[in-house]
Amino acid sequence: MTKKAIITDLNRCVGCLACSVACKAMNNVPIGCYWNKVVRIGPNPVPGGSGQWPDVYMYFLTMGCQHCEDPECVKVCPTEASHIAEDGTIQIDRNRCIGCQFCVMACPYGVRYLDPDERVAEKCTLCEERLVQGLLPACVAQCSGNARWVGDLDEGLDSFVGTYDPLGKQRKMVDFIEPFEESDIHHLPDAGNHPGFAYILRDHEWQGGDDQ
Amino acid sequence: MTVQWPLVIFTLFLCITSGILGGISIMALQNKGENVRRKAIVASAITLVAGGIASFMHLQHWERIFNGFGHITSGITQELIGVVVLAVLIIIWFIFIQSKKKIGRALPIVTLICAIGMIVVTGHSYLMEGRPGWNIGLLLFYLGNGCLWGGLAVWLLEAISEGSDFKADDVKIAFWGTLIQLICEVLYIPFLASAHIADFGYYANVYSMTTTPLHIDSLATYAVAGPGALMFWISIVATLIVLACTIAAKRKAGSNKVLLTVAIICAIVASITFRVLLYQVGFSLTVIY
Repeated sequence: MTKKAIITDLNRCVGCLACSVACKAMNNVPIGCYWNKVVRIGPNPVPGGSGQWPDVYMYFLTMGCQHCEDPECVKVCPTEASHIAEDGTIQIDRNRCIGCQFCVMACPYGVRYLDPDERVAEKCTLCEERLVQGLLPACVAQCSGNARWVGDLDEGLDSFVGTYDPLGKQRKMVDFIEPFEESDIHHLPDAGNHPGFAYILRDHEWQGGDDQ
Repeated sequence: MTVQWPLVIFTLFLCITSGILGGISIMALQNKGENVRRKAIVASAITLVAGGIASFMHLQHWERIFNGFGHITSGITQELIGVVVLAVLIIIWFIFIQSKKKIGRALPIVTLICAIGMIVVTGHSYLMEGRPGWNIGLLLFYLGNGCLWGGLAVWLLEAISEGSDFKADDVKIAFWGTLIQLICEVLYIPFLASAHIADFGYYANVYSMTTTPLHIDSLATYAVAGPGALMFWISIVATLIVLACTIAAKRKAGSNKVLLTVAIICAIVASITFRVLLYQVGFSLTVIY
C-alpha cells in the first residue's frame, strides 16, 4: 500500500506564501481560489502567561486537501469522480464530475471549490503528475523554510524528503529538521475522515482541537 | 455556506410530493377521499417532476450523469432511487384510479412507508460530519416538513372534494402535522447547541488582512440571535400562523378556504426560510480556510 502525504514543520514555516504561489502558478488555480492556503494562527496567549505580549505565540498553518484515509468527499460523489488513487491520494476525474458540489459540502476543511470556468470540483492533487515523474510537489519544491516534506505514510517518517542541497543531494526530513516527539505531530480536526497530512509543532499549543 | 436554491426547491417539492402521497394514503386507509385521488396523484406527479427539474438545475454537468452515475454511498444516488420508487407508486395509483379498482390497504401502507422513507433519504444525504450544523436535527426538520405538507394535503384535498361536507375532523391531521413541524423546528436548536466548530483561537487570512476572521462560538446562538435569526424566527412565526389556521378551522364549520390559503402560503414561507437557515448554519468543521 502507498499513502502519499505532506508533513509540514510549522516551527520552520515563515509564512512566506511561496507554497501557495507555486501551487497557483503550477496548477493554474483561478484568482480567488486556492489549492493550498496559508492561515496565520494567533497570536494566541501562551498558557500560564500574562495574556499580553510577549506571552503570545503564533504559527502559519498551510491548509489544503488532507488526502484523507476515509474521505467523505469520495463517499458522497455520485459518479465516483472523486476517488482514492493508487498512491493513496484523493483525485478528481474531471470528465466524470457532474458538478453537484456535494463533495464541496462534505469536506470538513472547506478546501474544495467549484471551478468557475470548467464547473467541476477542484482541489489539491498533490501534484500527482509531478510525483509520477519523480519530482516534488510544487509547494514542497518552493518551500523557502524547508518546512514541507513529502513521503509515504505507510513507509514511515524516514520516507519523507524535501528540497535538494547545493551539492544536489535530496534532504531527508528526519535528518534535516529539529528533533521532535511523537506528541509534536498533529492533524487537522478529524470528523471521521482521518486526515492524511500531518503537522509538526513544538513548544506551542496546537489549536483546532480534536487532535488525533 | 451559500444557499443552494435548486436544492432548497428540490427538497421542498420532495416534501410536498411525499406529503400528498402520505395524505391520500392516510385518507385511503380511512376510506375517504376517493373523489380527489386523481387530482392528488396528478399534483404529486407535477411536484415530483418540478423537484426533479430543480435538482437538475443544481448539476453543472447533468449530461454526464450517464458517465458512471450510481455510487451507492452517495446521497444523490439514494435520492434518485427514492424518486424512481415514488414515480412507480404514482403510476400504480394512477392505474388503480383509471381502472376504478378498489385501492385496498396494501398500496396506501406501502405508499406511506415510501413517502416517509423518501424524506428520510433526502435528509440523510445532507447529514455530513464535516458540517456540524447538519446533524440529526436537520433530518428531523425534513420529517416534520413532510408531516406539515401531508397534513395540509389532506386538508386541501378534503376542501376541494366535490360534495364534501367539511367536518372539523378533516383538519385534525393538518393540526398534528403542523405541530410536529413546529416541534422539529424548535428541536433543531438544541441539536445546533451540541454541534461543535473547531476553534483555532485568534487567526487571520493573510491573503486578505481586512477580512474579519469568523468565530462561531455557538451555532444555536448564531441561529436564534445571530445572522440566522431572521430566517429562524420567520419560519417559527409562519409555522405558528399555520397552526393557528388549523385551530381556527377546527372550530369553524363550513367553508374555510381563506384559512387554508393563508396556511399554505405560510407553510411555503416556513419551509423555505428554514431551509435557508440550514445553509446559513452549514459551516465547515474548520471555518478558517
